Amino acid sequence: MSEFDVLRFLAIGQYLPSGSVLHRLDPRVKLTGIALFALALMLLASPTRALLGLVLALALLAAARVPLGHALRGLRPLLPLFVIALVLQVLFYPHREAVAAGSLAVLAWGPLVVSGAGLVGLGTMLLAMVDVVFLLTLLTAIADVSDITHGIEGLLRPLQRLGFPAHELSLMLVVALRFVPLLGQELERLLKAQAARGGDFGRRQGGIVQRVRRTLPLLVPLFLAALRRSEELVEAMESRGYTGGKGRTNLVRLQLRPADAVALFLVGCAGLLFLVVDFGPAEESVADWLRGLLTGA
Amino acid sequence: MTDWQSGESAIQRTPAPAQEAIAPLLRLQGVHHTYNAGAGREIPALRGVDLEIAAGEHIAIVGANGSGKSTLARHMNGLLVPTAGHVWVRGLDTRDPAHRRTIRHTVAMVFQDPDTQIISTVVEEDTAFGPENLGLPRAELRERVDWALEVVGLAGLRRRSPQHLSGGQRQRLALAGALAMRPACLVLDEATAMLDAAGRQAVHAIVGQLHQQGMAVVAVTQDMAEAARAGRVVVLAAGQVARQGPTREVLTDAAFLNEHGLDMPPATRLARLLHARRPAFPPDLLTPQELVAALRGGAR
Amino acid sequence: MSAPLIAVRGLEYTYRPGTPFATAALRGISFAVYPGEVVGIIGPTGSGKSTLLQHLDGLLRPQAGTVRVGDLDLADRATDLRAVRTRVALLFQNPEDQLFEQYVADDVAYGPLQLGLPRDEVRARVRRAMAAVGLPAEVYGDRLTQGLSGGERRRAALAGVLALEPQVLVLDEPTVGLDPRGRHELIALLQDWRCQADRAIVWASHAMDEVALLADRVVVLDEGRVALEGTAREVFGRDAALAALGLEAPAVRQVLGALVQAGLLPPSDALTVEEAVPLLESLVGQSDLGETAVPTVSAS
Repeated sequence: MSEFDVLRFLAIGQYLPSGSVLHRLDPRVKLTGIALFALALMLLASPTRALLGLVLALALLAAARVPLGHALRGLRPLLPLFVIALVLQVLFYPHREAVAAGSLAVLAWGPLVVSGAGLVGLGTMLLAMVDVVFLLTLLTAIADVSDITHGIEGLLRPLQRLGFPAHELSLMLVVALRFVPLLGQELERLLKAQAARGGDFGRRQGGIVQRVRRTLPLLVPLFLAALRRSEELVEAMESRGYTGGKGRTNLVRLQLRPADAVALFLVGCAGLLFLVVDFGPAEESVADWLRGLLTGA
Repeated sequence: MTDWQSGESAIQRTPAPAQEAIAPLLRLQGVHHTYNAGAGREIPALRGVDLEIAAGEHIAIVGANGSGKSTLARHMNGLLVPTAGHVWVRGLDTRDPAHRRTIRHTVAMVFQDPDTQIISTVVEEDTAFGPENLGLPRAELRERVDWALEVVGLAGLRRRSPQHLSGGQRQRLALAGALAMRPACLVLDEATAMLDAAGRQAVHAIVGQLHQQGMAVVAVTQDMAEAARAGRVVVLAAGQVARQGPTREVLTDAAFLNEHGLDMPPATRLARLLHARRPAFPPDLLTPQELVAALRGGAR
Repeated sequence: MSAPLIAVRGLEYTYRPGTPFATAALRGISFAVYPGEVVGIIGPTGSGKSTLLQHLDGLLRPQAGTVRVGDLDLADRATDLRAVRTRVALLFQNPEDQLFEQYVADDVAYGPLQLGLPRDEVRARVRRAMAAVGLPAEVYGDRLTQGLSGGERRRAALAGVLALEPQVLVLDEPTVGLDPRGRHELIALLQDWRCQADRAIVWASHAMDEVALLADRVVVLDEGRVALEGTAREVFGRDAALAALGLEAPAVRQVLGALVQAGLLPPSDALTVEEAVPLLESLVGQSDLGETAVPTVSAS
């Protein structure tokens, strides 16, 4: 594989047009539903909620016909983060106090103590992260760039009446999304051109000044190229009559359909479930189950 | 075969806007333009250009790099305004901001690099960008987009992402975006320079059709064979019009072209060499087709 | 026949192999570059020209097959690429975009400095390289890179590559975007460079007329394979094959081809305007001239 293929690293997530029910939803529903879900997971984390989140995320991925392998591959960049989180939790969680307060001592090896509560806390955090990654994978799988930008503009449009530049912002987003791959290609070209002249960008030696100097053959032309392209883009946009968002009409019209109403209703139900799941007997049984798991181990 | 040919019927269905019979479409008078290049340096890119373009004309603007061709082209739709002199589009002064919208949909421009003209991530949405800016109702947006995409032969790819189009297709998309403004005049600023032979031919064919239907075309170009397709040629040198006249006169004057760092179209070189050997053979042919026709006639 | 400077055998390369985006760019290419020659590489967009060029100096490594530069094997991971790049230097399209130093001489010196050469040698090479491109170091060395004209910047970028003092110069569309005078000048200085000391040039281009004029041998690529190969005369004589690949023939061949098709001339391999004229002359002399000619007093 070419070491110059920088676009590899720019892939946000893959659009997988499988034509499922989820794909056909209004983009605003896709965005809000998934955003609320992810927010809830991050703010209201608890072991039961994290597990519930996992079940729901997997169910949605299945409904969108996203292959499990693809979803799991999205977790790969997170692995180093998991390891760091594990180390931090082992070192900085107040394990002794937890054991003293009645938690299980999973590991007692000299000065190192790891409590069950600590592990559960870690597990919850990791599981929540996994859920959020699955949700992002889901979002990019069911919504392409056009969907996402129309969705964002659609959600922001009511604010336009208050003077909020909704169109300008969404246009900035569209242009940025179009230009990231273009500048990536430009960077790749520059890497190759300077390498062909003997430039070596893999070396790590030398002081900070030296290393920065070494990247100048890339940064300076890239910057100039970005400036040039943005000037050309402005000329093209002005030539096509662009004068800002005021008075513009739109070819694409977003309309909520019955399926969207159903989806919103289901999102509401899932939200309620999410909130109540930590009250009452549900938490007890999950805690028991976890305890059993750890003692049995 | 590209399906731009089906565009012919589409064009006849929706005729081009009516042309004014008397006043020229585009009029440049004493146009000067000076750039501020920073550090107190001023570069005079145009030093007094007078030019008139009638409705439905096809002209080519040629000149060495730095002669001011691109700067001149940008004055035609008001992207730039002269530092001295005037530019009128259908009688409207480009300096007056109130006329800007009308000018921009009377004169549309296509630039060299398709990637910096394509804004959206879906073909038909990009084509709609111009008409959307004009605030047209949705039904008319749809009609213009459909028409423009048919003319350039991309109707079947309307939901595609521009990333997945070839270079030639992307430039045709940029052309569609300009056509969706329903302009009376199309300005092409070296629009085929980045295309291969097939891409160039496709664009020439589309533009040729549009010209036949009454659209004025201004082609700024380095390609002498492309310039030979126009009816009139304007040669720029150092910011001034060195010469303008019928294509057949200007592009066959070897001495003049040489003096300004330009070439003759390749067919013309052949014709002149033949003429040198056989004085009765016409020296002022412009295209391979004309050359072949003259030779076939001679071999009867 | 002396040993080839570059030998390519069975070269294969696929972008993003093993993913859904895998594209096979080269499917088994074989050819060689000998000292003293100019090899032209032509082919429609997407035929693999750029990919092939990037293999010649080790920017890309073969996934199958071999690329040998002299005695260096580029498929071997252990090969020192720096050694390769002192023998084969690649100039990309629009190379003026890669200039990054503030002053011209500094940018030209980048390559030799990266090679780790002593300062004196670097200075000498910069002087030689800038002289070779017509930008003498005494005058242009201290100029601002961004202050040069487009054509001058391109020549400065070429100097940056010539300063590596390679045996083979690989060029990707070197004349695109230049005006006719700029094109002539660049071609002339490349010819000069090549004529010294058994150097070779590999030239990928869409400009058929230029390739026909300069190349000793031509390799035609189509979808990652060598479709045609031979001397320039042999390859450009194959009008039908080139047309089938979607390539536009040089103007001279277009004219001759049409006349051959009309049965007025036997097939020939004339390539340049000078060679074509005697053939065409024979047609002109046959009778009084056709419609487009100045009428002469004719015998009935």
